[in-house]
Amino acid sequence: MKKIAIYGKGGIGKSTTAANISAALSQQGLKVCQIGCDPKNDSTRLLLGHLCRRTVLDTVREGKEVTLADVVHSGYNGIKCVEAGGPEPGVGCAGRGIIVALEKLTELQALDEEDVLIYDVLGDVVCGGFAVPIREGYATDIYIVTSGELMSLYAANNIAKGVRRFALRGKVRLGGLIGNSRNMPNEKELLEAFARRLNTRLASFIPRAAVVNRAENLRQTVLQYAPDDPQAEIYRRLAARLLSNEELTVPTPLDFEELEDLVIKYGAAD
Amino acid sequence: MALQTKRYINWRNSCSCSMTGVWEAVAFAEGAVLIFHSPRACAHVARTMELYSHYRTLGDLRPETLRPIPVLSTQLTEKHTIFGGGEQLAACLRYAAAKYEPRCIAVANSCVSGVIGDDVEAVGAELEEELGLPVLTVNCYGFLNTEYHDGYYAMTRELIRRFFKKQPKEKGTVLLLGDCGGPWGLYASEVRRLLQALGLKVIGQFPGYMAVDEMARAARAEAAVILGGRGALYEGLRKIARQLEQDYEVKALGAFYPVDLQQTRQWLLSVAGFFGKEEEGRRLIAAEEEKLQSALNGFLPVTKGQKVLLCLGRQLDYFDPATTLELVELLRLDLLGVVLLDAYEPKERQEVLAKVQAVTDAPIYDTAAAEKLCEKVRLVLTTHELQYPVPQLFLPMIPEVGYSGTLRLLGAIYRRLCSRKERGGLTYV
Repeated sequence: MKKIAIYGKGGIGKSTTAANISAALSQQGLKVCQIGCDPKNDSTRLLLGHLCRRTVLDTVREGKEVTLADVVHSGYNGIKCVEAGGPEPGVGCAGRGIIVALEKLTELQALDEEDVLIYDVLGDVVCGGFAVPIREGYATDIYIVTSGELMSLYAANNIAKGVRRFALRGKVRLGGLIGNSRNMPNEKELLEAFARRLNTRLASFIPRAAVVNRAENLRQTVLQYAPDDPQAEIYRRLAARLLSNEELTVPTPLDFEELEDLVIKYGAAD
Repeated sequence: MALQTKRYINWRNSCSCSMTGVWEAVAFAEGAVLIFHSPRACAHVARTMELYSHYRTLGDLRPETLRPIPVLSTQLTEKHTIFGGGEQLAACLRYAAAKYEPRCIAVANSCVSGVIGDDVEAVGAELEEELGLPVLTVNCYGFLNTEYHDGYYAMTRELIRRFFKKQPKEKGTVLLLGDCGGPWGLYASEVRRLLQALGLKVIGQFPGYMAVDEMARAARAEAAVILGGRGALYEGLRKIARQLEQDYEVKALGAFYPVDLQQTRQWLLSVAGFFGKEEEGRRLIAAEEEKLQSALNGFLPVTKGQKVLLCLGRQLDYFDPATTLELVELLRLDLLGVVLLDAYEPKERQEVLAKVQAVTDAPIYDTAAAEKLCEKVRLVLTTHELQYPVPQLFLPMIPEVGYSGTLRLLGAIYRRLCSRKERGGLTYV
């Protein structure tokens, strides 16, 4: 079983990327499960065609016995879709929610028969709860979605610090960066350089394309909405690379000044 | 050998739960209900404290006369840690209001509610409006950077803010401020006795033991007498006393405490002076000291010349060796030496050493010398339980107050010396 976690700054395109990867892998005939670890509950929207109607933590809130049928939903191409769920913004502890949700899934043995598990995890590693997919070995291959913008790189670098902490004592490794372009000058070169400094590689550079937004507006992945579009092919190649990737590393995060220098170097080359 | 336990913490680090402090501030405040916004098990700390207090009171043969207020727990569970405990708190507040029809509800927050960031203040304000009764919240969360005293003082300030009102002064009245074992405890009892002997009227003990309805008239007292010991822990009470003085013109009488004979005299003269009763004060001191001397005359045939050892391991914040050394002198005991136990950090040891040397010429020893010295004495006065087969008298944690307290300790030493030496073991006072 391949256990992948996708991290990255909020709004950078983690869920879109994860859903397209899941769709691509399912098209290869693999049994795929995508698990949204975000109280916003929108990771699997493109696979289900709607927001998940019942999350793992919904069942906890109701205090009812949880069954697989309650929390594992079937999405595009038979992909299993699970949303951890969580509290409303500003109340409770979403991190604790992630811990409980993943424990519930383990109890239910919900994910034992899958070929690929993809955890789509909220933003930065904001607290111990969101580090659980890494810390507890739920995922072993970590990918960070980032653009060439400084704050996105900053978040990626912080996530790399989290990965390093747990890599030094367990099996978790950084699989690479996934560049989600914001159409910045020299963005790909910057991301490649950043990846090298992190002791990893740029697994894919996804160009910005309007087809992604059109598909999203219709609650679909690009692979479902426009399977012949060149963007769909990019996601397929990325999915294949993730599946075969054996270059998993312990990252070497930068300090903030180094990161700034890197951004200035490539930004100044414009 | 002495106990091997050493302290590696100091009181500034959070080492107690603020919820118990909040509870203590309203524990017997008739009309109030307390909610522990906490997992169910946290309520256990208050239960334990209550039991200890109850047994101490029983032990002193001073039965409680007030009823403790109802204490509820929101019983936070895993679900609430994820989704927030606000709704649960609101439900508990509604339940408490309906079941007990209280005059106010106080909320004590646990670590859990702090960690998950429950907006307790907002829930309290909302329910206060809905229920039409005061809901008192404080910004303390269990052990999270707060401790017992923070909760106690925060709730005390909140009670004052909500319920105290400026009042015309009632002549010769005093408000007791603080806890020290409650109205049944030896401390408050002795202070009350001495104040009454001066012809003053104690209108109540705040917080903790004053009904909610009485708080509005508490500021009619001319003065507030702080019940406390020494050290920084009592600074909070002094601040509250200053607040009462500034906002409600209740004069704070708490510059020192009646914890040994010298300070008791000063304290009585100071209180008497404030109320214009200097002569009554001097007469009271003379009468009390005559009673003390009379008791001493009965003790001295047994105590005079008896060899004793003093073993110290308690911080100066909590214990003044001079008080015990004064008793040694009054009973004319033969002090073989003072042992400074291993419980002190180096700096503390220096401070205690200086304090002891300032009041006695007796030789000072380390723990290593204690065992042999114990063989030579009739009685060991100690702040720590020693594992030697020698009669020991455990010096109380809370200082003995006033003439009654001094007499009680003198009597305890006397009775211990009346028993046969072969009867070793430890006597708690």
